[in-house]
Amino acid sequence: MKERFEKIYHEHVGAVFRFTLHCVGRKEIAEEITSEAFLALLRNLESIHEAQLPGWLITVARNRARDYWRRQETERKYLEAIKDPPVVGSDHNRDWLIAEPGLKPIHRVCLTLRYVEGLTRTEIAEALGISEVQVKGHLQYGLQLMRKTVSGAMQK
Amino acid sequence: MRIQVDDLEPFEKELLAEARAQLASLRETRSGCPTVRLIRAAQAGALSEDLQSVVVAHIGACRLCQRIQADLEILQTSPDFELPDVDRILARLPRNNREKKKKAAWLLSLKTAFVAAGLVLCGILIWQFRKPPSPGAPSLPVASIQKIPPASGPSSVLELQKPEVKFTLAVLTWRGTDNRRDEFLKEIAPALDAYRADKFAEAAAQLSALSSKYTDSVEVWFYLGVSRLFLSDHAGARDALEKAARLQDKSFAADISWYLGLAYHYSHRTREAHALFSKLCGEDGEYAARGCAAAKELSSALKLPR
Repeated sequence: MKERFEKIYHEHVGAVFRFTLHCVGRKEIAEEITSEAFLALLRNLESIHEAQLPGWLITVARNRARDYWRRQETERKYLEAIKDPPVVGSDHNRDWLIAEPGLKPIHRVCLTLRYVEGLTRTEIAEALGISEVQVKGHLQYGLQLMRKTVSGAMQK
Repeated sequence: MRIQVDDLEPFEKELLAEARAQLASLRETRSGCPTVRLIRAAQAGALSEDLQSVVVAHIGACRLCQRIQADLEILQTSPDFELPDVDRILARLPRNNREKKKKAAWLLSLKTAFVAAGLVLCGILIWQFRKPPSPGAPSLPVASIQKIPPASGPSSVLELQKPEVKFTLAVLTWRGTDNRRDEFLKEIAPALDAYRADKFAEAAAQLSALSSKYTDSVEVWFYLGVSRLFLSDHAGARDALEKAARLQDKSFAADISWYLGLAYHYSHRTREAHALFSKLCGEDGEYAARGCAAAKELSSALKLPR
């Protein structure tokens, strides 16, 4: 049983952690929930068939993530504070962020997390699973592109 | 949320000077939108029913949130993603049965906290294994702790770390009578200064410009490749590092192999990455241990014996 658990653990821990990080956006919380999912697996190992994995683990992780979000008062307040979507119309800067071909997904997300939501580089690195130096590189690229294209367009 | 001015780094202050109005406008635009964390959680179906439905409805009507959601789907499978130290997660398993841990004030970093916890739990797990099981109670299978992570160092051996600036022996031992070496060093200096200051976009632009003049300079191609890695331009990084490799300079050979291996890994070219790391593993030098660890890490992806 020990060998079976170890095999399952090493085979699926990466996928479960990646999914959990996607759910909660914080590395420490994701590690905690991942360990809870595998602990649940330990308790039920004899009754679980390997064909059920990693789906079973993902379901446990998702449920734990829902519990986590229920406890998050700041996010709950969002329910009360959420406004209607922005009125469809021309907003040059928003349109740039959406449609600029020079921006890859990683650049757009880093820019949003840093300069719109105010996260630190450490928080961004942990949320996205990359290094802080990489975050810095992405921010540099995005800001330079913004300066070049948006500022240049505004001057026309 | 407004970020504090004190949090900004010098490169941000410089670049934000001209983009400040645009960013303020973006913040205003997104003031009614869910955070990136919430979008991700909604994508994974991890929110409570009421919050999930509100967030999903908003995303459906907001182009910017749709774009961010699409980006997050792509990033979810990004090759840059650093997996956690799996032994650290394993070490937490028995702790979930106990009360919540209290954060000690003297713990300065999360990594240090997990290392200390891992060491304690390792002892507890060994004690658990030796204790006879009480009748009728399911015994907790012991998952062996295979490795205690170091107190410092990267969480994954494939994490991108910046190499220091150095020069080839050819440049250092140049005996020519003309001033070509001095001219080269003078021209490359600003690019390397930018590189040292983590200004990778600037370094890459300058090194790229120099590459047409100094086509046989290992330094130019190598640091161009590394800068592009930090900018997630993996194709560009591969191109520059492959050119550096073709110059066959011994003083940079191991460095090039390592970073080209990383470029292949980030580009999902696992076999080529594995081949380079395995070669480093078999050689002497500073990259041997990392090469062995990286090859081992990739072996499972290739389903090779470890």
